[in-house]
Amino acid sequence: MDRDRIVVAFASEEAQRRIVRLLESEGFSPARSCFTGAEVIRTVHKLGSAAVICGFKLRDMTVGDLAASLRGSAVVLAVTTPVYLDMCEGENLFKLPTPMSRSDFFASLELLRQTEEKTLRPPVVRQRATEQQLISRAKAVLMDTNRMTESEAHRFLQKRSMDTGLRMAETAQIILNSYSR
Amino acid sequence: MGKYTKEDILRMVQEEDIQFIRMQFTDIFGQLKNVAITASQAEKAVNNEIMLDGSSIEGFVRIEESDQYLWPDLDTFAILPWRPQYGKVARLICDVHYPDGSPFVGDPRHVLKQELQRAARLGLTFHVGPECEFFLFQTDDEGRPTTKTSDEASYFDLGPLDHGESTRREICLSLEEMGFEIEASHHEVAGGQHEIDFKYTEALTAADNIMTFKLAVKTLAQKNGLHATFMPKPVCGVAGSGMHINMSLFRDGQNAFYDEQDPRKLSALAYSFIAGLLAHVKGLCAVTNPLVNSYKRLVPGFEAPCYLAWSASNRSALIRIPVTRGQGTRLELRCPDPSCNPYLAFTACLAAGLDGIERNLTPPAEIRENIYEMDDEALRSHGIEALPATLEDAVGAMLADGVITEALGDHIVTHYAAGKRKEWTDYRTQVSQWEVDRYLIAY
Repeated sequence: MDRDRIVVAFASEEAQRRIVRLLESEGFSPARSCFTGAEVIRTVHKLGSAAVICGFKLRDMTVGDLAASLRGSAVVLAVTTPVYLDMCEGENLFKLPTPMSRSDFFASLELLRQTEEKTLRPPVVRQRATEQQLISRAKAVLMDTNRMTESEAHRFLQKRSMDTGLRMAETAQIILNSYSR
Repeated sequence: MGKYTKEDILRMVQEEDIQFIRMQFTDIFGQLKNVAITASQAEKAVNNEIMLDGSSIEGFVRIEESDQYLWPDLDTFAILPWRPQYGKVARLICDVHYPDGSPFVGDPRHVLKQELQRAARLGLTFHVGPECEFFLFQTDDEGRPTTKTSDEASYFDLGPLDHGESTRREICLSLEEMGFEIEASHHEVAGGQHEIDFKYTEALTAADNIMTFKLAVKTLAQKNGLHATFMPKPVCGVAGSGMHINMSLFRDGQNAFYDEQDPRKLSALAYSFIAGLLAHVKGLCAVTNPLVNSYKRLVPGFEAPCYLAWSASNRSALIRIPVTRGQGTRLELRCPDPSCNPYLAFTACLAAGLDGIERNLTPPAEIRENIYEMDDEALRSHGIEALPATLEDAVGAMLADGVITEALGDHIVTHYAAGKRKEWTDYRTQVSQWEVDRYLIAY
């Protein structure tokens, strides 16, 4: 696993520090430590996909709500007492009861890693930020000028790319060049 | 002939395995309320048997007359597309009725329906296309909203698609799943500000759509770790959020604002409607711009209108005439903001316009110059007045406007004015940071 695709999320600073120290002891370096689910969501969005190690209740939401919001972009390991774990559910949510052993923790992390790699990582190289920006701008132009909806603009770009054999970013550049004349 | 029957609703609830139904209605201040029921109560719901305690809703009724009933508009049945944790959720938009079956006079949806019926008696239907702006902000370490945007608070140098943009895209896709027709969506002027425009539709549907739109924006923003706000002016010194209202009247399926023979290709009906809007715009400000904060947006410098003028060319006019003609001919009222109650806002706009038509009013001369560059003398010589400067002024103007108060009805006017006056008093008694910064040392 890329060592930066781990997010640690606990409402208490002490709990965050404990998990981060544990991870660092095995050479992992989490991307971010968060107090709120909102910040986890924003961080996962920036990373593209991630494994999230989380307490039962963050400062703004429970782990169940967080996992539901992260369906398709993250796998979540809920680390809490058995009583609270019984209240957790989610297709992308794994459970680890406390008190936990070091070996159980890293075995769970490995499971998370494999699930994240197999189900969440995109099969092609992620587009660079500049290409994403080009595509966004071209879509905006099509929506503003040609009154397309978001999905129509996206389909138009896709189809043009397929028909011409160009990449979407290249098609986007052609559109932007046409409209700037 | 409606879209759905009771049997259709019950069948869909079963076939789609819907777990909960949200019976939604709007209070007089524009807040969406709901009574959530389980699927087992669906039959009661479609038979108008779901009750609510109206005394718990501000501006509704007193405790001794508090039993009210929710009558769902079956055509508004829709499954909410953002997946909840447990089971599917559907919604029905409802009218509020008294136990004897008569419509509740304080229900904003009923008030709009009445005004639409008045237009129908003149052979007219009222169509509206709103353009809603909103901000997406980050939250802090306690999960509380801030006024920081992802535009400025980027953790990574090479992040993927801007988070606000992708959230807006998810909002559009969800709304389209619910049957909305979205005309356009784009990033707006200010950092973190976005706009989504809906296709023109009949006014009651448009108002329902705005309420659903706000729910979708708030829910999906939260799902994406952001906070959405329709507050008109959340940040001093940057553009505020407006809700421009495009409107037109149709007769027998034809746009009644269009006249091929006119130099501007506008009909006499359109000119009278403009005149009616201008005659009553001060009176309707209290409903189109309902917050203390609304009047922080209506200041020069950020393209928000503050003067009573109309123009086919000037983009910053209070009433703008977009260039489209034929079936797309319309007026754009640019002062409303998205914190308004859309049912009351559309009621007031229609009432103002119809008054202009019934009294055959003539609008003042079109203003083509930049109003913001005019000094007081120039404004006076052009006869240009200003919108109310504060919520207090706006409430006073509303109470003085017989056309607006008649359209809204006594119940709403009384409770709305009382609520807004209290809001103003609460605000007026606050000591702001501006005052502390300016006066604490100097005096």
